[in-house]
Amino acid sequence: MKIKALTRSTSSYQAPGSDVARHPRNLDPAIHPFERAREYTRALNATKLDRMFAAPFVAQLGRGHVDGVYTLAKDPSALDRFASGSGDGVLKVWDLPSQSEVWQTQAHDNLVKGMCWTHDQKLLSCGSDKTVKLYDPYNGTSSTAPIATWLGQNSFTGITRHRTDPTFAVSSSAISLYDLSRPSSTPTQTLGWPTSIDTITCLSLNQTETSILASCATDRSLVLYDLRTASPLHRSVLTLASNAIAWNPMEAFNLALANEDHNIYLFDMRNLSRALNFSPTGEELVSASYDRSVRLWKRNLGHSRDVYHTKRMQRVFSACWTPDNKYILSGSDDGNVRLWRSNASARSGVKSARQRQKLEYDDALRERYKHMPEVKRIARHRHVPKQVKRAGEIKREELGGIKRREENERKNGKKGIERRSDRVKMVLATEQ
Amino acid sequence: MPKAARWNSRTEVFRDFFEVDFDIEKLSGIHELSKHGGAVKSMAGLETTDLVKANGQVRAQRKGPPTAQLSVEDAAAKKRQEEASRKYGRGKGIELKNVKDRKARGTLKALEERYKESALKAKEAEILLEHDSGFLEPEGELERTYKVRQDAIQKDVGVETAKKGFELKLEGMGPYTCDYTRNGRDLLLAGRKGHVATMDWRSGKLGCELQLGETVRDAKWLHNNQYFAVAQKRNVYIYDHHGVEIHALDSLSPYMAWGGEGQHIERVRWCPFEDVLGVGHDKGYSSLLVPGAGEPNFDALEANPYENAKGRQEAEVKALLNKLQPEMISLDPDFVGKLDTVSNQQRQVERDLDRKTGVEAERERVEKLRNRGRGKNSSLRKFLRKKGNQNVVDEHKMRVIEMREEQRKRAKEAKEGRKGVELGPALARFGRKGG
Repeated sequence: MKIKALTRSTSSYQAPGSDVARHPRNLDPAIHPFERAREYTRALNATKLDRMFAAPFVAQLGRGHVDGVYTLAKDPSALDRFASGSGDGVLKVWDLPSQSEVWQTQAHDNLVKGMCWTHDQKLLSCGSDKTVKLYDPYNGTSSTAPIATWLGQNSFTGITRHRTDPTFAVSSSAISLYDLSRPSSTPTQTLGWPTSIDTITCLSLNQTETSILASCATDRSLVLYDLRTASPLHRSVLTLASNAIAWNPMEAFNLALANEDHNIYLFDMRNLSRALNFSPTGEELVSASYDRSVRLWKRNLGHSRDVYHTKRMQRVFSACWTPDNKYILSGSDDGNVRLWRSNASARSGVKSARQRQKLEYDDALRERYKHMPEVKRIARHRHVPKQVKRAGEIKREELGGIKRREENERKNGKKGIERRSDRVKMVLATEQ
Repeated sequence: MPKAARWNSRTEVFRDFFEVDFDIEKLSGIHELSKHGGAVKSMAGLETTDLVKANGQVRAQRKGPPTAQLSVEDAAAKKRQEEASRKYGRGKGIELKNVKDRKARGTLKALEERYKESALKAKEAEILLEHDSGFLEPEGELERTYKVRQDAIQKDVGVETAKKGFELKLEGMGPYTCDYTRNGRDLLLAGRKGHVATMDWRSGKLGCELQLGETVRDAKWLHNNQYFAVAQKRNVYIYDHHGVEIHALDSLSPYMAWGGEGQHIERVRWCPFEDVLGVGHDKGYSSLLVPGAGEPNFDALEANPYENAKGRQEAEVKALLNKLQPEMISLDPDFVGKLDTVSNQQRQVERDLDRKTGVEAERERVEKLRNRGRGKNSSLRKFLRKKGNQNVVDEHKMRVIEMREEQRKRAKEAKEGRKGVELGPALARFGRKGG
């Protein structure tokens, strides 16, 4: 008779005198009962923990500005330098690791309307005092005179730089392109839609398709220009004016528009008659709002994934991502520049392999069970200020009323009124 | 044979493929491939102008294999995948063709791929398992496994394993019930006469020993070796590992049967992760070696027979964190996270399995009306009216129902005048009514 029975020795699982135990695994589902239910429980716990650790606010930078912060600009070639411009014409440059101010100057007599960094890490700013100024915060000391100044005929509203050429574009009633290497000169190129005379409120040069420029004006239009042909390409008129434009850095044909109707619209440059839904920078987008909150959006989802606010934060006019995608800066009317985590419950710092593994596992669990009612409820719940909640309720009622009226008209009025989606509805006209 | 005739037959073509195959191997010396027959794949790009070689063999002209035949490696990979999915897969995959939404389809496809891959990886991780299960195999035709005695097994297996088979003579306090902890490390013994003992049976270390002095009907470990419950004469008590009574539950009626004479086996329990069967009887307790009974490879994060104190503490915290909520209890433990696709109508039907529907229900209703008797207050009717609605059918009620049926039958017969037919028109008037 052949006989074999199981033989294991205790010492093979924990050597005598050692306190390190070995943990053999067996992945056979038969010895892991109630797998789904246990996994779900873990997912629920992971979701709760995620919300427990959510603490988005990190710090405010230095002592902020005296007046409201209306623009922020990140230096594309550095991780740690940011510039902010305020309502009293002061520019400040911040160092993120020390969260302190490293440079400042009184640049304009009035509002600073736009800022951007050049290739050689110099700072361009434009203001409502009809000037564009160039500073060198990396080398100069605070309160020095600008390296160069360009004078315009109207007050400027926005500034953007070309990805490769030493060129920048500023907007006022038209868009003017200036050459960085020729200070104090007249514009090299002037762009505008032939029939449009309204003030252009914001503009942005595409950093991937480097010759494409997008602008919004108070006449509710979105216009695309091509610098190579020095001509406008396309114009769409929307139901309400837009306040900001952001190009998707990864999908160069997508741009996001922050609209006055409380929405963000994502447009595909190749087919502008239709506004796509909400929007990103790459995968996600941050938006600053007049309702004293900062919201974060996923590119492909129609609702914000998080909302940040504090008791003291007033109207937020500017927000931007840090280049490492981990933090967000916001500038608000109360003169503070605030630093937020882009993922509220994430923590930087060195993690052990086990800790990292656990976090990854929790992420996967939350993703897997995100549709379960309890998990969804906990993950979505946010406390928002009373006035934001109230505004949301009013808006919902308003939209519901409009929808109800339209449905009634469709039911009882003339035949053949088609339903139009909100995306289509918000574009009034397009011109080529 | 003419070329055309050769190409007509599919089998011929196949054969040609392999002939050419081997030729190529000879030329290029790919011997490894020939063993697996994997060179079929390497044929894919071959193109020749001359169909017949000098030795009369036909060259293959196709760009790919003649049908969607899998190459040997692909077939092996597929087989491996199927095996892995059978053991480690979690049910059937999603029919991607039926998913209309493109985005969802993409997500689901990626998900399915990941499931497949994880099953395969789990299967591959089997190489890390340390132990094979034990066995008892007859070598000759005359040998019978059921005739092997414990002493023979103990002689054959290693010393360490042989120690796992033992006898505890506990006469006078039996019969004994026994229970192992989830990881199989600790043993709980409880004698009918009130003797309760816990032990780390592998090392023979006694945990605690109690003489309760009253009838003990059953004993059971709780989630680990820290607490156990004992069903005593009137109540169930919970003790900790030192034998300190910490809780008395409400009275429960005894649920263990007891009776019989002689060597009565009270309880048999498999020891988890060991080839051991624990038998509690009236003379004490026996630990029997049963080769091949236990799961050879335990998962230390699930139940660890070799855990130390630190490990136990950690596992306890983890277990508390992952404790299931009562609503997770279901006959199908995998119902969590599944879509409830049962329609409302179906659910309505399931709510009352005895409910009759459609034509059947209508017929029943009419039948009831038709059979309504005239007299309202016969004692049987009264009884049925008062107690008949209850679902409990006891002997008395059965009798009443039978009597009622009989009455009804008689009434029916009387009405039809069958008695009259039997007795004839002249005598019918003397026939007892209802009799």
